[in-house]
Amino acid sequence: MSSRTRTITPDEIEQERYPFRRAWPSIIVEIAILAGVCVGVYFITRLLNIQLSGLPLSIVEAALIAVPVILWIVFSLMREQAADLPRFRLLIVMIITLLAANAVTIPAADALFQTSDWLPHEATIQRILGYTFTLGVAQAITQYLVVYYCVYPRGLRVRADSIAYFAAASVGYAAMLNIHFMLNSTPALDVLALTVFANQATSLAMSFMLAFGLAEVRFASPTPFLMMIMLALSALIFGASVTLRGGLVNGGFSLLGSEASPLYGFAFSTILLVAVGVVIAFFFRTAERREEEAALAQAP
Amino acid sequence: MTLTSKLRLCSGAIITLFALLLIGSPIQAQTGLDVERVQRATVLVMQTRIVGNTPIITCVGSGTIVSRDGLILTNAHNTLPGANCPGDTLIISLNIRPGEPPVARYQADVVQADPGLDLALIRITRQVDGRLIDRTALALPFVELGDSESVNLDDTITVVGYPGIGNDPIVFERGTVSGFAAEPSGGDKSWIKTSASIAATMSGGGAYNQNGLLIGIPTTAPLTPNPTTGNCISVQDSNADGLINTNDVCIPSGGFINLLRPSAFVQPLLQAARLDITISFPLQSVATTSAPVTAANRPRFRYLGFSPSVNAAGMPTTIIRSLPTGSDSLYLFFDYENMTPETVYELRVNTNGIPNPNFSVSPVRWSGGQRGLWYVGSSGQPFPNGTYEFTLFIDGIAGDSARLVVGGGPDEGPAFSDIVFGLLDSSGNVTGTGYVLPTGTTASARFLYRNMNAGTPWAAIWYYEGQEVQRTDDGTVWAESDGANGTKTISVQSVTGLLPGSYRLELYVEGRLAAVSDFTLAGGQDGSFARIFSDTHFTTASSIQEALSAAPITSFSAGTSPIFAMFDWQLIGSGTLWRIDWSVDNQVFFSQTQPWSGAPTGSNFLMQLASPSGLPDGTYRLDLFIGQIQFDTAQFRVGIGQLPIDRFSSAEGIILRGRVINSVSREGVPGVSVLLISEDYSVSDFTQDWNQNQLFATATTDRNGRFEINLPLQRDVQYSVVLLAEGYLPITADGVEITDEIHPDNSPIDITLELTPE
Amino acid sequence: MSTTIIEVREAPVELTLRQRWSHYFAIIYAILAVIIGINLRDTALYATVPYSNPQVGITAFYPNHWLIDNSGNYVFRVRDMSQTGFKTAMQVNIIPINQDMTTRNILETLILNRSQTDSTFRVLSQEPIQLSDGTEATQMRSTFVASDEDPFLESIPTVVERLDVIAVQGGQAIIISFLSDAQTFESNYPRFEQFLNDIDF
Repeated sequence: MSSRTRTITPDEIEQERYPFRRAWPSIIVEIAILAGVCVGVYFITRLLNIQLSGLPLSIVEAALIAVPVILWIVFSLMREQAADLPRFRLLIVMIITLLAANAVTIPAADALFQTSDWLPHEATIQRILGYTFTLGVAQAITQYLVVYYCVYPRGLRVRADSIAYFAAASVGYAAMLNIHFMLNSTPALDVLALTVFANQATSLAMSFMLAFGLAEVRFASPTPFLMMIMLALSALIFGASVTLRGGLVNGGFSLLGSEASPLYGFAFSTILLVAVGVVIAFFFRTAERREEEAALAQAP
Repeated sequence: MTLTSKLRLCSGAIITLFALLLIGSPIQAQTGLDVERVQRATVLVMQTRIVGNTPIITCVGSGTIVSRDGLILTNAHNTLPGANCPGDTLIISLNIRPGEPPVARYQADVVQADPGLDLALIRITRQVDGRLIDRTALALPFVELGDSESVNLDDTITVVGYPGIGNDPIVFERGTVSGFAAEPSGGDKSWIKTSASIAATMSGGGAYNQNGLLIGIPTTAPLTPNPTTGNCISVQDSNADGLINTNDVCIPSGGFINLLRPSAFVQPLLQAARLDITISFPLQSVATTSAPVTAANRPRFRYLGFSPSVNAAGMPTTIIRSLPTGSDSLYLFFDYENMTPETVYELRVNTNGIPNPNFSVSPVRWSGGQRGLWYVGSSGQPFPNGTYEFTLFIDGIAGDSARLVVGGGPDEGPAFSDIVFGLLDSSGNVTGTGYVLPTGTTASARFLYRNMNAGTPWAAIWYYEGQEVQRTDDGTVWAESDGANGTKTISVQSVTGLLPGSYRLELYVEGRLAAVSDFTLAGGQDGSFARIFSDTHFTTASSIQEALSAAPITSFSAGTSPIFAMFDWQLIGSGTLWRIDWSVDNQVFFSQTQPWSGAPTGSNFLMQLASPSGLPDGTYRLDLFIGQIQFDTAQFRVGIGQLPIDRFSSAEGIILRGRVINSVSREGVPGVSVLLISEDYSVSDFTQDWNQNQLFATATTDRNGRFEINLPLQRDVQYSVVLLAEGYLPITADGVEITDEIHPDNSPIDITLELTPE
Repeated sequence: MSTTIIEVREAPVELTLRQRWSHYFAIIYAILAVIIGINLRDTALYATVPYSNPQVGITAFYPNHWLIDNSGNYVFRVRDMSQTGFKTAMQVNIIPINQDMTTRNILETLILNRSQTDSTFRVLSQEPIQLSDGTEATQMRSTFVASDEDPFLESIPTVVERLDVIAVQGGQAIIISFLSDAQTFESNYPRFEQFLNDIDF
């Protein structure tokens, strides 16, 4: 009989290692840092009354526009390589969305809908509907189609994949919106900072909706109208975001003068993103639990 | 450093800071003058004419915009075509930016002018390139006229104008009211004298009181341009010889200005210009022009004399040899002949051989008739003791002069004064209007006398139209029975009847002119009064012939034009000065004094009132005067009998202006519509109907995003605002109200508004 | 020596019918939404407001949100105040004419008046047209330079293109005018076309 040393603690239960990069934490880190950078630039510019122009302004603005992309590369794309089962074509999704937005969606939507000619002067409800059925739908369908045709269905191995891919698409689309904004509106640095955040936040909130829809279609067996509904809701988020944020930002009239309130817009974008994110995360969690329970029920 | 010294240092610094702040903006800090509004309303008026293909400047002066639709108040001498100013086009330059020379923007036409008073109202009618302007679309900054009658000695005033021929920006000259000059044309305040240093090209500009209201027009009339005397400047090669020299057109520049024509003289002209009514005399000729000057009819002054006061008829109460110490009024009387409104006269006063600008009158246009008795005087302004020499100049050439000693006690010598004329009643009293008597066989005069001694030689000489008609016998001496002091009545008689016309009575004592007065005989006798004009009535007709037989009308429908006025007259001597006053709602808009040139007696003297858009509603009155006495009046109504309220006539209020910027790029947004909604409507009312009638005013931003609501906003009135531009979120607001807390003074509100692009 | 290549392929994922239809519905929704968007745009851009003036016998439909003004020397005028720069305008004017006057005479009068008041006025073309109700009319295209009347603002003058449609009816000439910045004339013209089709006099 051989003697054998035994510990008094119970044996460690061997746990299966999660093989994919977790998408939600990366998104939270990226957007939190982006918010910090944008608000920081806003306050520094305003408090120190920094007034750049010419090449220095262009360089700083280009850098600012690059921030969300860089954050995504650092916290999503590069960390993807550390995962056991990395997602493929993430970068492709981001770049194709960016190019599609620039080449097709943004110019086509501008030419077709001419929203600046008629929407700013409409009533709030009409504006929400107007933006929803024009630019909102255009952005939502672009993100959806890029993800769908680039990675669907093989790329979606787990539900979180949907979030990761749509987040990549949202970064690409928002980056192109920011570039267009910088080139066409010649914004002041502080305004650009908050707009970069607002575009990214809205785009991300829309992508959450789309991600949930596509994940459900992939892993559950929902009604065939679900993706359509999520597209509509995503577009509605865009319409509501543009309209309500614009209303909050737009200055009133006073005999002492009036200023726009971009911080209100920032606050609104943040709240919108958090609200949509929490709701969609809850739906994801519920769906995953439902799936786990179904799997357990099927197990022998 | 001790605490006390630190405190002292601090308080010294604060006081210095305050002093610097006060010095920094002298005009604004010390007066209620809206400097920017006045700057914008002050224009440079250039009279030009085309020589070859080149416009040549012929005359230059300043002017002031007095209505939002482009009426400009200026002098007549630099706007009306004449020998000194032979141009035919008026170019208006505006002060676009403070501190910069004016920029030519418009052409203007003369709409009202009085060459004698040297006032003109010109209206902007075209862009500088000749395009016609819809005057209802103009909304220019303008100033309001103040009450020049309330101006007092030593009041602080600000004179504004252009000191050069076009290269100099506006200047503001501060000064005080140093006195008043009296003339028959306007009484004691015919001119306001000022200590402000005013360049000649500022003539026609504006003088403002402490409340920022225009109370006078700096006025001087340049003499005939003569390059050798330096009273004009050549600035263009008008004869195209490649040189700018004395052969080129010389722009009159004049000398100094110490006179302001009071704003009270402007009111009738302004009212007439606003009403846009023209008055013509289709059947009768009314002398408004004068014959060219020749050696025979050269203007001249003579018989200079002094009086301490004038009576209601503008006649000297007495003639004095000296003025007692402490006297504060003195009038220089003289006869004038062959004068025209273009004649320039000047009074230079030396006190003890030293020029005395306080009592001098710089060169000005002649505002009287062709011949008669005139005075220049001053009241309410103490005369220091000394020997005063008064010299009159006509067109720059010295004429008669007279001396007077101020000092010592009252003159105790024999004197006559206070002549009045009339008819004798049964009790031997002189009755009537005083200076206008009905024609008849007798005219009487009553005068005061004092310090008369029995046996003192005296004489009374009566003149008719300058010709002696009667005098007291040679060697007439004062009767003891008349006493030393009292009143005496004398008469002029003619068995064939005294002819209607102008008469004069001169009273002499001890061979010296002691009193003089003119009077007029006209009309038939109506008791002791004259009945000169009668049957004044009005009608409307499509032709003159039809008007003469049409029935009288006293109430016309709105928009009627033309309206004819007619009256009969009797026994008016040729050359008798008479005056027509037209007023609407008791505001005179036409006043013209002229020598009678028609038949002595007649009927249907016809006047025609016409306006392109019909006569405005109102109660119109016609008054007919001889001298200062009204002899007939009649009135009629048009429409509701009251002038429509012009909500644009007041410059009172606060100008709202500012800049609309893109909230993203912080750059100005051009083409933004700024709509100010009347207090009766809200934004939701307006955006339901989008009706112009609901708007108080509108503005559009320029290329820099700047806008200006050029209708002044009223305090404590709630307006609504809409800002609109394609591609931007609109800005709307209700209850926009200027309160004392937001804006305590009347300076313009300058705001920056951020428009958000979408 | 022979080499064997073994290709490892992931098993293809077959889409279910429900998944396919889900995608088709998404595409269909996008197409429908774009159509709705265009419709919303047209509804907003071409929305009209009725105008009626029984005194002169005119009914018309003018663009919604345009400022209507009937205080000038015209029957009415509407302007798009949201336009930056020159405000696109349509106006209707009625002038009484002599029975013998022709459209040609009216045109000449208009040209003379405008030439005298505006040195920048130029006639581009004149041609006969037929209105939607069959009325014979003449249209004249012209240009002029418009500038802000406020001399203290730095406004840049705008080249304005003007289209006048002149019809003679019942002893009066009806002049329907369209004025727009020359650069945006063509894009704004459909609104005038709609206005012209709807007007009844």
